[in-house]
Amino acid sequence: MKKIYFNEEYCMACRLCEIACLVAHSKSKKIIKAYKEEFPSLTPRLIIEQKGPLSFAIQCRHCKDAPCVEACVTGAMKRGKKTGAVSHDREKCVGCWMCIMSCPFGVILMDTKEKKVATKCDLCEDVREPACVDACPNEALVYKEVKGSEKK
Amino acid sequence: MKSSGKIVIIGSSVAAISAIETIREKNKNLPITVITKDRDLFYSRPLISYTNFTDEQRYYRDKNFFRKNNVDLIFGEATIVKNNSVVLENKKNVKFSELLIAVGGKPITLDIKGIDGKNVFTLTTKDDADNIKKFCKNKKHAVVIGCGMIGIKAAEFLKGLGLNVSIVELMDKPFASVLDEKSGKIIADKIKKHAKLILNNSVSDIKENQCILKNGEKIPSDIVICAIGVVPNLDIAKKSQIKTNRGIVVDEFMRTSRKNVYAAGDCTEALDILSGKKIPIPIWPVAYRQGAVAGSNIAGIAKEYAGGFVRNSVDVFGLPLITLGLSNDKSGEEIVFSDEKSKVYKKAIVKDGKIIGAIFVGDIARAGIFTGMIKDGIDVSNFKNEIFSENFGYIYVPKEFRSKEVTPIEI
Repeated sequence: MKKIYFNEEYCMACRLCEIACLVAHSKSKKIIKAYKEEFPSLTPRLIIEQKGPLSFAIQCRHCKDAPCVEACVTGAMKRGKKTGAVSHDREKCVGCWMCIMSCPFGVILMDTKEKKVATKCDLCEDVREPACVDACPNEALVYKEVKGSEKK
Repeated sequence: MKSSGKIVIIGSSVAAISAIETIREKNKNLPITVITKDRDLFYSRPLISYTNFTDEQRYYRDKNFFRKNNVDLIFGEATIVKNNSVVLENKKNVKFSELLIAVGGKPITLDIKGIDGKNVFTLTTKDDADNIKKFCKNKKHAVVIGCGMIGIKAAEFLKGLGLNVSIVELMDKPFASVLDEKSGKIIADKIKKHAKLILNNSVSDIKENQCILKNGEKIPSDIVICAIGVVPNLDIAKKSQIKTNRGIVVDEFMRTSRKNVYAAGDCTEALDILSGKKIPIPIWPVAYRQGAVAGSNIAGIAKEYAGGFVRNSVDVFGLPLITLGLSNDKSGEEIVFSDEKSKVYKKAIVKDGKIIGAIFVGDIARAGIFTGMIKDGIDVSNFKNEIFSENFGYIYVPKEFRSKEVTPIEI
């Protein structure tokens, strides 16, 4: 499977990835509408971190032995057999936050605008390249095949 | 270790399911039989207290999980392991080449007058929840004994059924073993908005319509839920001469003292990385991991259990609470963030440069980073004063400790 990786040397914390993520997960998929009508109830599924000169954008790593899948008591968090990605089912989620407790990257977020549920990167499911990667002007975010996982 | 015969699993909750998934990932054909007491196999135990759920919403895996994974089911109680067979209550023998005991925990019962009354329940299975629901019709007052994880969920359950709830706790605060004074007070204040909370007290006599407390106080109660906690279920292990201590003793491969017999989940005691000792850690993620490790070894692929530590996340009447590790330890350095107005309280305990425990009340965002730092034993000396700053994140984790999941090898 393909995963999103970051290269902190190239990241300038321009936050374009965050905007792209937000818009990609909005109803309208249009930047102005998304910000005018849906923001701030929209939650980007990635986090931009900065410390001194360093910065990067981090989102769900779709880990091999995913701690969130282990910790999920409802079965909402699970690994897709075909894709290998970790997916989250809003309908099943009860907002117990076991996944937030478990994710060592801290990239599972709360979505509390309707029912309280967890939310995270879905790799923009049906598109060729995730929106954040597509928006990154400096190739600090890359979308590439995981080594040794070609079979999966 | 390579399996050739028939795998038998006793139990059908998370450790069993995780073992089945792991075995099936590696081998589609090994015959697997599950022996279970649960009539409704598919529900997730932590969800039994949600009153507004349909049965469908309580499913952990889908309804066809066992059929799809080609698992035979036997509904009944396993009583003893003899030679290479499990003997059922009806004396039937079920032969195995490898056995996994995943029988979970048993609710702790108290020696109180009236505890065997018809109005006294425990809440760990869906049958318990269904029985309580039936019993609660036209009832007004409930008492929950114990203010921990199960106690809170029991109280929410009873509130959801429309009863007035009193919680009686022996200690001076809720979740007494994992909360400190301040977080205990915030949680207690929250509980008090929804239920009567009686601390430093205990029930000494349960009558049909009231409970009499140790100090003589009488509180109305039509139903009592005993929610002190659970202990590992050692019944079958003890009868079968399998080594037990507080839990079933297992090695790093989840093997018990008996040949070809494995154990996983709440019934075991396994390595606690914070104390270096083997103790029962009856939490969901540990059960899942142990089940997966046992499953892998049963399927013939050696895998070691690296150990775990106690941690929990619970929503207390809408207030999120996460505790990690030795969260009530008094011997380490305490790093605290507290905002009384917004009911946010965070604390980490640092010892020898490492975080050994943490508490998050009200704001639990990114708490998992702390779980990761505890697990990996990361030295936080250089940035410990920044761990609750707004900018804190995974970027603080030293590069050499960052996971391979972050950067591919070729970059």
